[in-house]
Amino acid sequence: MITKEQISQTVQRNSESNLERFFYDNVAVRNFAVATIFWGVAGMLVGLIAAIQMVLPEANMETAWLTFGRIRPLHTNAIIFAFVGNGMFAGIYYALPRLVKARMFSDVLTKIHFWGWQLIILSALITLPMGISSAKEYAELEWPIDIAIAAIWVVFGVNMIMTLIKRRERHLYVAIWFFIATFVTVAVLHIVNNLELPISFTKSYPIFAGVQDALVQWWYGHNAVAFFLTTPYLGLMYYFVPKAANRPVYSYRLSIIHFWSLIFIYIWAGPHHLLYTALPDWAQSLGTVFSVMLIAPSWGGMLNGLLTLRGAWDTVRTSPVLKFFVVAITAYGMATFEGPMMSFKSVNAISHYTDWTIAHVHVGGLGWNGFFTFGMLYWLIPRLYKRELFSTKLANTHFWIGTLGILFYTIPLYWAGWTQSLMWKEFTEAGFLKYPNFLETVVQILPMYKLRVLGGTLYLTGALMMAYNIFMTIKKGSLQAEEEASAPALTGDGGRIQRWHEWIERRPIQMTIWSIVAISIGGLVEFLPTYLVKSNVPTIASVQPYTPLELQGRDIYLREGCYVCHSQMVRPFRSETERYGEYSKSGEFIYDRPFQWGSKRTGPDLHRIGVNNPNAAWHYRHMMDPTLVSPGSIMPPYPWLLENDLDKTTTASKIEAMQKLGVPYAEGYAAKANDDLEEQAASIVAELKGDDIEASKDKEIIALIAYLKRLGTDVGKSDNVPSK
Amino acid sequence: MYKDVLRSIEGIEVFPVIGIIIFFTFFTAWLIYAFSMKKEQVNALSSLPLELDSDAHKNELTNESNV
Repeated sequence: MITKEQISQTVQRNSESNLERFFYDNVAVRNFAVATIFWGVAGMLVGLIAAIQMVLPEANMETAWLTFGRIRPLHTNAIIFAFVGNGMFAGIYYALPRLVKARMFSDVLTKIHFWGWQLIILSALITLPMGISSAKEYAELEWPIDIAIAAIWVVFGVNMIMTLIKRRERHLYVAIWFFIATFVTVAVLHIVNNLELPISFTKSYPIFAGVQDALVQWWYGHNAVAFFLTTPYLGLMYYFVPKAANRPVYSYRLSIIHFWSLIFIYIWAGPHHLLYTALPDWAQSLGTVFSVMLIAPSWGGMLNGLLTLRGAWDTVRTSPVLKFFVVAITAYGMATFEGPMMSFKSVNAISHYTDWTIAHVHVGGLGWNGFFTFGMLYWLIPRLYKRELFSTKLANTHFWIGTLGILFYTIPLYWAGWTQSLMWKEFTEAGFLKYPNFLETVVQILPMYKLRVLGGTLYLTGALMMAYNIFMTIKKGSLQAEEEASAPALTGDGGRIQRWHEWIERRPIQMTIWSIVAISIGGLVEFLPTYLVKSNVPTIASVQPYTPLELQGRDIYLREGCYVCHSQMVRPFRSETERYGEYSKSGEFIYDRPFQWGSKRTGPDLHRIGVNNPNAAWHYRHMMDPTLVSPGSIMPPYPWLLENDLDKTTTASKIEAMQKLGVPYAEGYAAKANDDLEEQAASIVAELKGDDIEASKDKEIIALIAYLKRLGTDVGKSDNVPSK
Repeated sequence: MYKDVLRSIEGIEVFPVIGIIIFFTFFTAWLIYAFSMKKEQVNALSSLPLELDSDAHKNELTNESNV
């Protein structure tokens, strides 16, 4: 049965008016490109300040705002969401319209997307140094900003998918699949990991607690790496590398396998951040297995990128763009080989909580994301401005100085990580820890931290060279704001579908839905049993909810970002039980919202601090100036905790929120919570007085001490701890 | 409420097994698909980024380039 519509389409296909003129919007691409340079430099600068503070704690100027615990989240968020985020959008807003021969769907949505995203970054820049943080790595931003991120992300997604619907190219090139998967997955991850109960405009508690919160957080955290730092950039790789080398991708078949296996496997690997923790064993093993499998698609993608340059290696010698791409893809290959290796439990036992992790992530961040962005910008800006790059020589210099920067950053940190891990685990012949004082293992690696500062400085210098180079190119060129193009409209059904995959290649909506299915399976299988099956978190009768004062103290711990340097997870190794005490059990964390297991020990683990060091006066002096009690410590002083009054007006609402989330405080307890708080504060003040310290019971430090004294004490300490 | 519904699922521990079976089925299907693609189609798809933006469709009307 032939419809009228089909007849008219056939007529149209045969008419010459079929060719449509349209314009690509280069303004949005330029805006995102400038933003990525601006925020990139800013984010790297914050990173450099953080690196300097590791060897020079005074570099926080004794202000709360600039303290490591607050600017480290600022650095990670700025690099991930501001630098890489804007870089991704610049690339997508350039590549996508050209791949589908259509202008982006809506100029208004494009503008909302651009300015909305910059405002979100600005709000992060203000709130994180203020200590407004939900204390979950890379998801530190508080709930109002989380909602804004979700809204703007949806704007981006709608703009992208509507563009695909009105496209003039029937088949979706592989890069577009990566963009779709990025949009879908980041939306899911972001929303689920930020399910939180607001208490005020600047404070919320996550709806998950303890082990479940940890699993959701690392399902998010790992897949932020996967779907924010990797998939969009792989999409860009599949577009810009062929463009820059002027030859098609090495193997399109491989790119298909690459895409589906990558998005399917990546989502499962999150638990490899939680090996040897209190996470159920089956979930840990699952994470390991899938991480090892990840080598295949990752290396498939890397080889596909590098082999695209086959026969073009002579141009790599002279082209800074291709040089950056080659190092970026190589770094991607290194990081994606190393990641699975670090997911083996035996390797992870060494690497976890050390600088090895930091080195690993910077191979990815500086090498893959950074260098790919630089290469893309050097290629893009001259084309937008119809002018040669201001200085190819300067770009080549940037390449070499940046490469040196990566080497000076990562190699010392690998060294530092291994050194520290070996020192943590070393026993004397008599069977005692060889380095019982954690500080010894810190002082040992300070020279490496100094070299890291050099590496970061080199890398930032290169980025500044690029900023100047791009600025001069822009100044001397003129933006081609509207780029004219023409293509025939898509008409009819595009002929018979030969093969089943073609069907999906033509249908962005179905593609989106199937991508959701693919990533949901992994997420659900891992998450549901842990969340729903009680046996995954054995209850411990002696574990009780925090007292009001401890809860307030814990929130100060979150605000100051203590988790960026201190873990709260004693792994079941003899070297750890000797140093810290009984290993951590999943049942101990059921009231922890959010969990604070951490992923890096710049300082010692704190899960048993209440058992090992219950002395209030020690903590008081330590927070006033850590070097008073630990000479040589690189922890910054926290004098403001001794001066600030604790905000007790929030106590009732915090208790009520916890009750809503299922914490078994007595009915009506919120009303008298502050009485208990005062009583406990008075007892700590009395204890301090016994050590000749005059303190007011209204100060924040008292609450923090209460929390630290409580940590890890619910489980009775036994002298004979089996180490699994 | 919904938690109790899900808790009562018998044998929820086979979920991972089901997941892995689904995954391998999919993976194998993509492999078969990718390697049975026709060469012309592969070439057409991989040349998509390289088409000049003003290029008209192949086997459709062409338009003078404006690059």
